[in-house]
Amino acid sequence: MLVGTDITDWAAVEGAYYAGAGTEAIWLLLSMLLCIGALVAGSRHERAAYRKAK
Amino acid sequence: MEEQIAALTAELAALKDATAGLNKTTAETFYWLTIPLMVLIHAGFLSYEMGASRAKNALASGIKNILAFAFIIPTFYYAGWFIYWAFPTGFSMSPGPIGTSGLEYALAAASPVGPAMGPNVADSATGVFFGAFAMFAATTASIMSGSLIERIQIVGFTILAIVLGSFVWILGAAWGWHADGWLVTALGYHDFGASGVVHAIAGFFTLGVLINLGARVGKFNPDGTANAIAGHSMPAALVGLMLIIAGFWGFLMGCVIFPGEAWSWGTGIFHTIYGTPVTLSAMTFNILMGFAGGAIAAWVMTHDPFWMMSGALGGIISVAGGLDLYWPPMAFVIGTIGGIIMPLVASYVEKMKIDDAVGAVALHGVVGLWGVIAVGIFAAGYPALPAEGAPTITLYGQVIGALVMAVLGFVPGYVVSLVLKKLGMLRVPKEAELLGLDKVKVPIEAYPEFFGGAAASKTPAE
Repeated sequence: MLVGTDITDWAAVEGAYYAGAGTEAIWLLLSMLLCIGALVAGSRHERAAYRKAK
Repeated sequence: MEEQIAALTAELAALKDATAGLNKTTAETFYWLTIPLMVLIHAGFLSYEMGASRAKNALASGIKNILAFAFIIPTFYYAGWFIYWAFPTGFSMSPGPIGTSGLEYALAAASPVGPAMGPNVADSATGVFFGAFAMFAATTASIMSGSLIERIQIVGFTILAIVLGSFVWILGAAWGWHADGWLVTALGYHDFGASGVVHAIAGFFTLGVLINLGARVGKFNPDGTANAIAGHSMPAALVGLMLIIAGFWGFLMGCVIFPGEAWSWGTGIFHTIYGTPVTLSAMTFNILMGFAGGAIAAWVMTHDPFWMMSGALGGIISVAGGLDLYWPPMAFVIGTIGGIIMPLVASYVEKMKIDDAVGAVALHGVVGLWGVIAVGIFAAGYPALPAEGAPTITLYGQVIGALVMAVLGFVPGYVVSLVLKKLGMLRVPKEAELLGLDKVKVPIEAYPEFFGGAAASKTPAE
């Protein structure tokens, strides 16, 4: 599931137990997009700063 | 009698369970502790590079350090950890003789969408191993950082840091810092403390970037002579270098394999990443001797505390490849040679009109190569792996390995920085460089009381 968990009993947990199990790829992609977005935003800020300096 | 035997058997089983649990949590804690120790390296880089920058660029230099560290973590999660396990035998992604490599193994152990890469009660090791390697990666990227200060764009630098830290060096580590690595299985390559896979790769990647980046305004005169561009705080730079050295104890601690676990090489003693025996005592002798040799040699060569601290680091880098093998006075000699090489190479780099602001090409690149080759000179003959019939360490294997590390670092550094240059993302405009990067793009000031900034607000007590 995208958020939360199906786990209702800790005694039954024998392996992975993280929230978001089954939707790992979606979260991976989202985190990658955030990294790319941060770099794009950073680049825009930097270019604007250089234009101002000129 | 039978009841007593049954009780003793149950007690023995409980004792074995408790011992196994203790060993497992101790191993987990061991690698966990390498991580904050390696964070000291980044505290050091932060202080060192801000101190080595002029006051007008101090915070912009610091931003680079923070971003290199921050971006390496997710990108190493996405790609770096997988590369380490997938590519030891080369680009075929086939498994090596030990069997802990190749596509199938990497998908099970390091897939960024797999259950090993998150909270898992059946796996106490992957997270801390990943963390230690991510810190190695951030260190590798940060080695480049200082050389580029005062004229590189932040995003361009961050992209270079990601390429170096999450892709390039870890490929070198797969080849030469893994028991299935082709350099190890074919040539007996030995690089216990990463003289080549971290330092040489980072130093030569930096050289490739510096060629495209160019020198700072005012560094070279029209007749080709160089001007010294002093940083604004030599004490901050020196403290930073000492912090890096403190952090290297964590780095080198992360280079050993803890005993007694399913993934260990054996019980009762630490092993190298190649499965050969090592003790923390052996490492301690030689880290300290390398440190001393490098610092003393740099003092004799330069009488400059900046280069003395760099020499101390260079001494450790010189002996890192064979920390597990050297006789300590031999390590002192090897560290001394590293401390002599470093300032000579730094002068040569400057003569070539390359503005390496902190000497990383000399310190990490060339001294890193020296560390690899020194293993072939002073420790040839040892079996490179524990298996019977394993190749032995040779000068030939170490020289070939050193060349591989230099090329693997230089080519991507040169190519990626050239692409960034063509895209206008490598160097800041001249106007911004002259004005100072803090004033141009940082919303706060490093020293507002001294450089005409807004007056500091007073407390009610004042």
